[in-house]
Formats: sequence, C-alpha cells, structure tokens
Amino acid sequence: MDESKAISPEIKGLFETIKRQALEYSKAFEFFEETRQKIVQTQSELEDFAKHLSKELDERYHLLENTINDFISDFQQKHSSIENVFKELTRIEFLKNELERMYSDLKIQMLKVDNLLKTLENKLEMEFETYSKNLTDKFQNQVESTLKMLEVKYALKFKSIDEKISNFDQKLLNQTVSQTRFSKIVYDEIDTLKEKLEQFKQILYEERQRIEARFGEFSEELNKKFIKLDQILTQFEQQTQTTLQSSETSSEKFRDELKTAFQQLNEIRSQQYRIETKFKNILIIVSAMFILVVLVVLLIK
Amino acid sequence: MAKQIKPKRIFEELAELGVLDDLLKYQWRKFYEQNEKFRDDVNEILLKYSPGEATVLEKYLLEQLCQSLEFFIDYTKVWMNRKL
Repeated sequence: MDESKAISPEIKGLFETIKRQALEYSKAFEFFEETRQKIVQTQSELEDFAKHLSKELDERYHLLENTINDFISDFQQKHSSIENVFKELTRIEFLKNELERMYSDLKIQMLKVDNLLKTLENKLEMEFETYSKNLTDKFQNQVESTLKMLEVKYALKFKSIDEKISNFDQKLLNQTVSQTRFSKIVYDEIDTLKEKLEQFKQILYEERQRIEARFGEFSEELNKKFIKLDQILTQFEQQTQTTLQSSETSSEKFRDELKTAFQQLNEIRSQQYRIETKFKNILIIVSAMFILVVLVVLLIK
Repeated sequence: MAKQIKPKRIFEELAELGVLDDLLKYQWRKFYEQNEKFRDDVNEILLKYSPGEATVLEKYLLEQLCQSLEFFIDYTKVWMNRKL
C-alpha cells in the first residue's frame, strides 16, 4: 500500500511516536499482567497459606485455650486451697492468740483459786477440827452406850449358850456310852465271825488237801491203767503180727479181740472225762465260796 | 484476494482533485461530523486518494487520538494516583 499523502509528516511522526509508546505500554501492560497474575497467584497462595495458618492457629488457639483453661482451673483450685490454708493459718494464729490470752487468764484465775483454796483449806481445817472433836465425843458416847447394851445382851446369850452346851455334853456322854456298848457287841460279833471264818478256811483247806490227795490217787491209778493199756496194746500188736504171719483164718477172732480192746479203751476214756469234769466243778465251787467269804468279811469291816 | 474492478466514485475523484478536504471542511461539515458512516467512508477515501495534506482527516485522527489518550489517561488514572 502506498504511503498516504493525506496526513502530514509531523502527524505521522506523532502517530509513530504514539505507536511506539503504545507498544512500550503494551509490553509494560503485559509485564503488569504477568506480574498481576503472579501477584494473584501469590495472593491465592498467601490466602491459602493464611487460611491454613488461621486454621492451624485456630487449632493451636483452641489447644492453648484448653491448656490455659485447665491451667487456670488448676490454678484456681490451688489458689482456693492456698486461700483455705491461709484462712486456717489466720484461724490458727487467732486461736494461738486466744490460747495465750486464755493461758494468762488461767494463770490469774489459778492464783485466785490458790488463794481461795488456801483460805478455804484453813477454814476447812478449822471446821474439820471442831466437827471431828464433836463427832469423836458423840461417837465415844454412842460407843459406850452401845457397848453397855451389847455387854448385857451377850452376857445373857452366853449364859443361854452355856446351858445349851452343858445339855449337849450330857447328851453326847450318853450317846458315847451307848455307842461304846454297841461297838463292843459288834466287835465281839466280828471276832466270832473271824473265828468261824478261820474254821471254815481250815475245813476248806482240809477238803482241798483231801481232794488233791484223791486226785493224786486217781491220777496214779489212771497212770497205772495207761501203763496196763500200753502193755495190752503192745501185746496186741505182737499178737496181731504173729496172727497175721500165722494164718488168715484167725482174722475173725482177731477182730473180736480188737473190738473188745477198743471198747475197754473207750470206757477208760469216758471215765477219765467224768472224773476231770467233777474235779473242775469242785474247784469252781470252792473258789466261789472263798470269794464270797472274803466279800462278807470286807463288808463287815 | 483478487482486486475487484469497479467504477470510480465521485468522492474518490474529488479527493484526487484535492477539493474533498475543503468541501468536507466547509460544505458538508455538519453531515461529516454527524454521520459516522459517511465520515469513516470519506476518511478512507481521503487517506487513499488525497494528493496533499487533508486537514479534516488530520483533525479527525488527532481528535480520535486525543479521545484514546483521554480514555487511556482515565483508565490509568487509578494506578497513577495509587501511592506506593
């Protein structure tokens, strides 16, 4: 396109200048825009960071608030306890002062009481002396009168007791006399009983000796019979041996002889048993009688 | 794009003769100032076909420049007044 002649060179120069400046402005605006974008981005980042920071700060604040609240409550509690301790201390101090005051008051009161007690003691001693004097006089009078009354009363009683004792002595004398008579009779009876017992013992001893002698005789007789029986048995054995050797025909005779021998042996055994039982019975009766006599003697004693 | 062949307009011939500027300045001044379409059309013809300086066009362009600069100044006024 051809250059226009309608516009003067000054105006063209002006437009060129303005165009150049516009380009510069455009560059500047682009730079501004980039910077603005960066600023916006940075701003958004900063806002995010601020949000994050505020959130974290909120959390920390809450945490800190809770910690501080806990600390405050703990502190208040401790403060209240310390206050109580201080109150107790003031109360103790007050009580101490009060105690000191009371101690001083008590000292004064004790001095007063001591004085009072001394005066009272003196008075009491005086009163006690007069009262004791009166009382001893009165007591002596009373004792004397009572003693007189008691003397009379006990003299009468002693008299009656003496009479009763003499009566009892008489009765006791009579009783002892009758008792000695009775005991003499009893002793005589015991002596006769002892004599009888001795006689009975003698009889029993003699009877025992007799039974033992009879038993000895019997046992001797029995021994003799046993010896005889042994002889018979030996003889019988010899005979049986001879007869067995001689003949078998004499067996019937030998059987009869054997039968009679066994019968004799049985009779001897039954007799021995009867004698033994009789002797045992006699021994039991004698021992029972002896025990009975001993019991009677013990009962009499 | 192929250049179209068309008949020359009266305004183009007037512009080539160097009288259109004066006509617009004195004769059709009101119409030129009021009708925007006409003004744009005539300004383009002046720019293409005028053999000498057209004061009307220059004046118009300077006025437009002034308006643009005023707009620019107004637009950047906020930044200029901002204190760092």
